Amino acid sequence: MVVHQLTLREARRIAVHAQLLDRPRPTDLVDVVERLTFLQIDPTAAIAPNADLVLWSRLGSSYDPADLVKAIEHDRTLVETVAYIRPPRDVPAVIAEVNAAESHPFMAEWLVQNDSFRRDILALLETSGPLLSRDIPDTSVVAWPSSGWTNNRNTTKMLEALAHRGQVAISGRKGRQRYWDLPERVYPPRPSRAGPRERCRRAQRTAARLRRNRPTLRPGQPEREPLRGAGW
Amino acid sequence: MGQAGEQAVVAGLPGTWRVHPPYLGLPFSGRTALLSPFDRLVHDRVRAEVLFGFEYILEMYKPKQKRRWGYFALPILCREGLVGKLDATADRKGGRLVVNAIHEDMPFSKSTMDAVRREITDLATWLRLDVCD
Repeated sequence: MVVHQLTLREARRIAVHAQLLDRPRPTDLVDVVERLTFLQIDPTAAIAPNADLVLWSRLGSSYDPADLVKAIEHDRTLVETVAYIRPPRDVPAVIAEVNAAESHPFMAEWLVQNDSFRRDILALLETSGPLLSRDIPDTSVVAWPSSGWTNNRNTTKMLEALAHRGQVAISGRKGRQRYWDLPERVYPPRPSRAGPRERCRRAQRTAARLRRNRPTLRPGQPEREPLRGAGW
Repeated sequence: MGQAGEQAVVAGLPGTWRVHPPYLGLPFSGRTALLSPFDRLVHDRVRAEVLFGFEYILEMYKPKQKRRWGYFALPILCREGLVGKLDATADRKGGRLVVNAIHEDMPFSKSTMDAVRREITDLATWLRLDVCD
């Protein structure tokens, strides 16, 4: 296999170009997120929250944070997953990867013990979603151990675990609080007629593309496990 | 599932790297940019240090007297180089973007400093604040 020979300057330029930090500047918000593959959500606003600051670095001061909210909450051209904003087409692969990986044993046991809690949440969202987590009763059987120092820890922990696994979705925000709903009401419809096998293949292709896009110029990393299951 | 990209070596750097082949040999036109501390260009601190010679950590969790670059210092990109950090704070009540310091890893040329100043002005415009230094 060919090993490419790069100068340091070439290597740096490739890394900067892959992050859309050269000229010409990109002009389309959704296109930027698709090419970067995701925006990390971090609320620290000493200057501006991370997702906004990353978009300003690329798009310049023509970028309006309201456009990001509109893309997520109205147009659904982007979606919020736990701690990240992503193009919706990537979400099946992200969920498949979580479902294929083995959960942390502690989390796996907590989810088994709290299956009735999970079903309560899904039933409530079915009839009344979208809801803020503070409006979802904590019917947990076993508390999450760090509970007690923040309100509603069990409910938030369960909602995030279910969101990672594609059983609930973040539908929007009210300030820093998230609205939760059933995934089919948030994520754009998936191509129909694709059976589980085809969906799995698609998710694998997407995961491969995510990896291809993500690591432009990085130190080699060990191979990862193949995906075994697909989406919501 | 194979690894993404193809193997590359970078002159003067240790180890092997992965590169997305369509990005090889492209023309490059650089610019100046201020980056979020969480920006993916610097997110992997080891990679940033090896590839760009850029020393950086987010210091918001450090005691104030131990900070070198500031609570939420923004990495400064100039063309293909990471050249410094901007220590600034949005004072929304006061309507000001307070510039505490511009840290130059190596002394900036006049044109670099001018370009950084233009980015600071653009940042303030975007935040609807006035620059105050």
